[in-house]
Amino acid sequence: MTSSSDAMAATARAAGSGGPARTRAAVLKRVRGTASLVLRYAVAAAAIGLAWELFSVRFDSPVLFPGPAKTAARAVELIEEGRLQADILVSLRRIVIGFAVGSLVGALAGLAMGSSRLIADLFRPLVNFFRFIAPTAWIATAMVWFGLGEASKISLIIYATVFVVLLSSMIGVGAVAPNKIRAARCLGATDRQIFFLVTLPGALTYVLTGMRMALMNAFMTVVAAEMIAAEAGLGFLIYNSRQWMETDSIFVGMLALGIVGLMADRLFVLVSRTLLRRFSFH
Amino acid sequence: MAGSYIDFSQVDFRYDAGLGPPNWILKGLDLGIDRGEFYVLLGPSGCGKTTALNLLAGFEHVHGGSLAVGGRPVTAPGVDRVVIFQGDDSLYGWLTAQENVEFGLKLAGVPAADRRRKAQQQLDFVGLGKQGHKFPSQLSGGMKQRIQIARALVCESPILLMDEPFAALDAQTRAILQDELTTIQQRTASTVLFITHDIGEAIILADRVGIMRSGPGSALKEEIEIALPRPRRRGDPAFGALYDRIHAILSEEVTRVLRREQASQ
Amino acid sequence: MSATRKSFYRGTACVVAFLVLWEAGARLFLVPAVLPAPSQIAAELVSYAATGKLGYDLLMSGQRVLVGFAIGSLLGATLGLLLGSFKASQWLLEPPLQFFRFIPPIAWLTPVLIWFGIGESGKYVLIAYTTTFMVMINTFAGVVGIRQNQLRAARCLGATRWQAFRLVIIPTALPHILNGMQIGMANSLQTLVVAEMLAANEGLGFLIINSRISLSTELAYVAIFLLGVIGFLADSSFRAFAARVAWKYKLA
Repeated sequence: MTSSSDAMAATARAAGSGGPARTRAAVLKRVRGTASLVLRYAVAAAAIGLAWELFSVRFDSPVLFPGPAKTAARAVELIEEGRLQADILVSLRRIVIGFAVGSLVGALAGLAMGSSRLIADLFRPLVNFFRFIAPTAWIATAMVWFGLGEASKISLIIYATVFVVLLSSMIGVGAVAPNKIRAARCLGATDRQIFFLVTLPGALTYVLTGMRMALMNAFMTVVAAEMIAAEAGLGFLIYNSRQWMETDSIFVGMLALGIVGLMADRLFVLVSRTLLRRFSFH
Repeated sequence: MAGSYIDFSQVDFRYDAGLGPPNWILKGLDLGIDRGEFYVLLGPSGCGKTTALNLLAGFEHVHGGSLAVGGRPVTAPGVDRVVIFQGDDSLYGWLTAQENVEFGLKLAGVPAADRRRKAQQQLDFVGLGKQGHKFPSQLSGGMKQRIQIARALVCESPILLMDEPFAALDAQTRAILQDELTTIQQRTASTVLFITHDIGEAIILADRVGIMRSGPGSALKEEIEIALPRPRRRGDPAFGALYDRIHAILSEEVTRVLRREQASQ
Repeated sequence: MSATRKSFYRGTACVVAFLVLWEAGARLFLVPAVLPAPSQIAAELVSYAATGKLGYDLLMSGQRVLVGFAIGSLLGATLGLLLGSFKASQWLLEPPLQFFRFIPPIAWLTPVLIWFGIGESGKYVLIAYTTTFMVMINTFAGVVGIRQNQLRAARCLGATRWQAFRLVIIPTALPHILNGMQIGMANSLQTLVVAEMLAANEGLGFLIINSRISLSTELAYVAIFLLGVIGFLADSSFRAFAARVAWKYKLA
């Protein structure tokens, strides 16, 4: 005799349906949410811009610390020269290729290591050692093996991506609820089927989280690699401008990095959410 | 009700939605609880029972009307109105059960030896005398709720506010804790405001049951005195009669909620 | 044989096989300039260490990281705690934090070099920034994500603002601070390597880049190896610390 008012409502509600009232309210909520977000970004940007302007005026050295106006002007120059776009594209290209390859290899390796005790045991010590070596430490090696071209930079990005995605994927396999696997076994699934139809979709969230972290890593690595050994790209733009004391170019490069990075991250979240909605059951 | 120990008088409350029309949770709520009374608030989801408790606790402020305890208006949370929350997320995982119970005393600056003695007393009282050194993560849901009760009791507050404290527990533990709570309240003569969805639980615990209307802008619909002698048993015919009566009143409100949702489609 | 013993043997076997293949491959097919053999790297490690220069490089690198890390952790934790505790700063701060986290710390090397020159202070600033940012962002997230009922419980048990901060917010934030420090250390090591490659005359990063000039590829690999060891030790220390000392905060 422990009925509850909730249970009454729930059973009755099951007969009814959602309806347009609910979606209208949801849309309003979304609009309100985005408006608030845009407002926050606008306020933050304005506040930082103001602080920046004040600071640069106090510092009073347009060479050492240009203000927002000067930086914006320089940005326009660079865009008109086509340099900024070119640099952004070069960096992005390296990241995209390295990230894609690294994610694929990392995910497969991680899933394999997560699923098979043998493989995990074999490779764990090596993985646990090499993942702590900063990717940029290998730059000299990469250049000796792959020459001075794109391959050397991309190889570093692959290195940076692989370990992060690998680790995340490995954990993801462990996170698949054992009951899901048991259920599949009861229904007669082979090991292969279990891997592709249960483990893989189940671990997907973790793989995607790992990829998101690896994306940031990839940005870090590409900038570092370009600072050390490149003739184009955002890292090159930033570091090389030091020679000519073009601090405004440096700031433009850094801002471009921030914006491109932020957009890449948001894009990734969007894509992974749509992907998860198709495969997810949570 | 004016003159009561706890006095909700024409209380209005809404949530600030920013853009858009205000979302009135409570409108013109009149509720009075006498000293030493065990008052259970019952109602459909979204009817504002938790809001009423939060207002009394001092976590929110009324927008209209007044809320007073012993004649003095409620302005902020205080040790005189200790809350026992739903679930276990108000306990501190880095403190042992004993330290959790002592927490209120520590805040008040009570010396360590006294704190330990009083906390141990309450832990014994709720049946966790030997578990004081354990951490919340090592204890079951029922034990964690007991820690909350001990934590509240050790402060000797005259008013206990309990927001569906037993909702997340299994049926057996719930029954045991209900009995324990009744014993405790009889012994300490504290005033209790208890929120629940469960009609049976309400009848077992309450001196008086208040049934709220469905939201938005809800208030009390009806109050029912529970004059049964304690301890109360579910098999009792008087229990059954009360149950049916309350159930009828409540389902009116629940249907009203559903009808409103269907109408707005 | 127990499972852990089996894992251990398998792992070791794989490492040994890896080293053997490397040694054979390097000796038979390659030149040290392309890829030195492990034995050659080990020999270089010993001889370089004997000169005392390795100790100096390690000291310089270590100093840069540790000083910057210490400052950064303290600063980051304090900022994260303070800023996370007020609704206003929460609202204001999230967008810029989310933006600046995409500017890799190493990008700041260039302005830092212009403002501070190539001396040690610049490196301390850079590492401190790297750590501060990571610790702050994690601490901030931890404070913002605090369970409302824990704060409410404190209030109704009679806590003042300061008591709530000291006895509820700080303990809740501790695992986040630690996590931020762990990631901050890893990031700092990465940033340090690049900074030393570009703007230093000693240290592990310098050793790596310098090998191109001095034609001592073995030395570069010694530095790479040591970087791995340091990174591994740092991470293990954090893990051990979290497990032994900070475990009860993680359980919150």
